[in-house]
Amino acid sequence: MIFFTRGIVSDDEILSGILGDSVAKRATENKLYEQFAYLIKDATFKHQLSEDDAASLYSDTILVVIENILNKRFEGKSSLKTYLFQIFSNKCVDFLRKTSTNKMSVYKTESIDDLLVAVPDETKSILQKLVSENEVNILRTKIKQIGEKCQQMMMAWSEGLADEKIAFEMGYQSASVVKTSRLRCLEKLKALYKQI
Amino acid sequence: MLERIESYFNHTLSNEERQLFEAKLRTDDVLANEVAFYLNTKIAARENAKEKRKKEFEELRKKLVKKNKVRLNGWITGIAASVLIAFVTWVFVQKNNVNADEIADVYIQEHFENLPVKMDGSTDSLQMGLRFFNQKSYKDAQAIFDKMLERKPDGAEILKVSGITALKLKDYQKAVIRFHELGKQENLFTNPGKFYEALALMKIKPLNKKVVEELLNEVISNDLEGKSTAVEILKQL
Repeated sequence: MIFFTRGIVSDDEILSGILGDSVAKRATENKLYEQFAYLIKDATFKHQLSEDDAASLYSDTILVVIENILNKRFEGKSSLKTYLFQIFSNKCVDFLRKTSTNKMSVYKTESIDDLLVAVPDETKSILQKLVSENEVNILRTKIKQIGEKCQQMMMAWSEGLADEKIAFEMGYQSASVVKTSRLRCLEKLKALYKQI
Repeated sequence: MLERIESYFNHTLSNEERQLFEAKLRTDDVLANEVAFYLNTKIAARENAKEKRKKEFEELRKKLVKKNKVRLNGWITGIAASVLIAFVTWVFVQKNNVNADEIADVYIQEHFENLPVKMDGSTDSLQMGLRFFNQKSYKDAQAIFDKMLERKPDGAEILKVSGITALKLKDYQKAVIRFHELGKQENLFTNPGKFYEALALMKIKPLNKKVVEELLNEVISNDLEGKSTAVEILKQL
């Protein structure tokens, strides 16, 4: 039986931490996870989920909350706890509904909308058609073959980290070196991808 | 071509260039394929990042479960330990013998309960670490300070707070190392490094009285931070 202690980090501290530099961000994300982790146990009673399923949904919830904080979608109209609880509850209910059909589809939270900010509607619809789940899955495997440094850099880039920050985090001399290295990694990945 | 695509998505093209890019996208299959590759890659990388983070969260959960199980088991041993501690404290009080360890404890309790944090909501790592410290999340605070020291090993303020955090974590050897590094710095306006190093050494058993006294005398003779307390401590040692 698991008991999780309830943390004491305030909403303001969590928000400022997640919006801060990456060391602070990571530590705060972990704090956020710990602070409401008791919800996992609650969900096993309330929704009759297994602990592993509840934990997986809870991790998804934390990732969504973090993303919404970064994208300013969380406006602070409710407390972080209420906000997180609502997302988590919805995920649990969705999961139960989809269990009988396709269990894994609940994890597909990715959307390209964040990448297409300020793109005109007409172009946006063209770009949306270009994105293919199948290709994404192939690329996910290929990315794991391009070396640790490239992987790290591309993950940081995909999360919207500025080149200046990536340079600082990964010990590159400047943002322009990061940009050049990233483009090289992309070319390397493209070459691998074309081998299929 | 990838560079051009990136410039488009980063909004660094001029209006004219953007329009040209969008027009070309409708007719040029090569460009469309490159854009598809770019977008799919970014989504794939983000999915991988999320997958990695999810695994880290899962590890965190396992640690939490373990910690809480230990905490439960600790209830029984806790009661026994409390009785033992009460007995040891009683013996200690009876002896009425102030030692170096106790002197250091009093100083640490009185001076290192809270560390000043900027009230402007700063989000830099140092402030975040200090906030964790003040919430008594010493391990989290130390993780941040350690990471910062990897980047800036001679950061005086970081060395200081990391040493203090090590004291709180009862990692006295680490505190000594941090304060020793701080004490070596000669270009600071005030430097409590040597005094704090003496304090940390006072917590290590067996007590190396000679080294502690040397450090405290150095603090006094060089008029360093902690001088008046150093005088008092030397009288009691």
